[in-house]
Amino acid sequence: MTGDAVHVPHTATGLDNRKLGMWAFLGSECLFFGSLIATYLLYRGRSIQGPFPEDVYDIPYTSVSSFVLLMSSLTMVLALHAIQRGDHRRLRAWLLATALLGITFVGGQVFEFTVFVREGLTLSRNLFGSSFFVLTGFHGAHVTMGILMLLTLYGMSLTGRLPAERALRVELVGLYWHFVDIVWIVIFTVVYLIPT
Amino acid sequence: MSTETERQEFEPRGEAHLPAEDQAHPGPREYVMIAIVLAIVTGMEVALFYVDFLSSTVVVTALLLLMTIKFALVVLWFMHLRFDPPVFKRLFVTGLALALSVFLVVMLTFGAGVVPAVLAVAFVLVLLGLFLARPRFLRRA
Repeated sequence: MTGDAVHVPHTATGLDNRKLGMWAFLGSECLFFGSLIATYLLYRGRSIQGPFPEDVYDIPYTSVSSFVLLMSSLTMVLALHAIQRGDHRRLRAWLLATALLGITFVGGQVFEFTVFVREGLTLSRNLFGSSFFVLTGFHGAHVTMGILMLLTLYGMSLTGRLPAERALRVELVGLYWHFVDIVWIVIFTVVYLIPT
Repeated sequence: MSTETERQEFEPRGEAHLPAEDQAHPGPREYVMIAIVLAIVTGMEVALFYVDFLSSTVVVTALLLLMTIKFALVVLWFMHLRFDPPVFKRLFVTGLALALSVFLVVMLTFGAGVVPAVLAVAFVLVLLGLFLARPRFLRRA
């Protein structure tokens, strides 16, 4: 195997500080999304005027979106596997697939938001609207950031600036991407599936 | 923490230093298997949403259990926490435990009910068990 997988960083811990920093960042992001989810649950069922969740949610539609994001985690980990083996052609294919799946997810979320607004649910309409849009909106923003990072990696690979020795860059973006996936796993269950 | 434990914790982890069970990261085939399991579990979650002959407590408990399984699969396999040095795992679990503590405090302080809090505690215990204990059934053959 080539790349950072066999490279031992010269740090006090013997671990790469960038990866350590990424895990610390993800740990802090747990607090961020944990607070937003707690707020959503706190306000759950306390809106005094509609629309209410059961009026607007389209579970089959959101299920497909969730499936798309889950599968993007598979393509992301396959991209990492490809660069660790020095297979740049497959790396680019999987990176592009991951970005496209992410774009599909975000596009679906934008469409969902549009439908909700048409049905009268806005950020300031009621407690449900406020907590729902803030939580899922921040998640969507994270996914969008991830897409930009994926496309950046794709461009770097195209121009030859992403050799196998720099596989850690793909791994770090992958960690971020998987994190937004696990956040959605929680949101999908807690926000959409668990009945009020 | 003992010196020996510290050395094990922070020892450079090139593949030559890994225990035999950790040397091989999963290959594409195992990743695809995990993805299939994730898809099946997601299908079960959606099916549970439409089930109307079970009590809501049973449905909520089952949904949280399935969610925990998906969460753990992604973190342990796709994010490689099963295979990487334990310090990464502990950093993440610390953040997760703090987040769930905040969640519990908010729920209990503002009177969101005991059931969500109990379920959250169950979620914490399952997660911590997965991350820290590394049960034998999760280890690679």
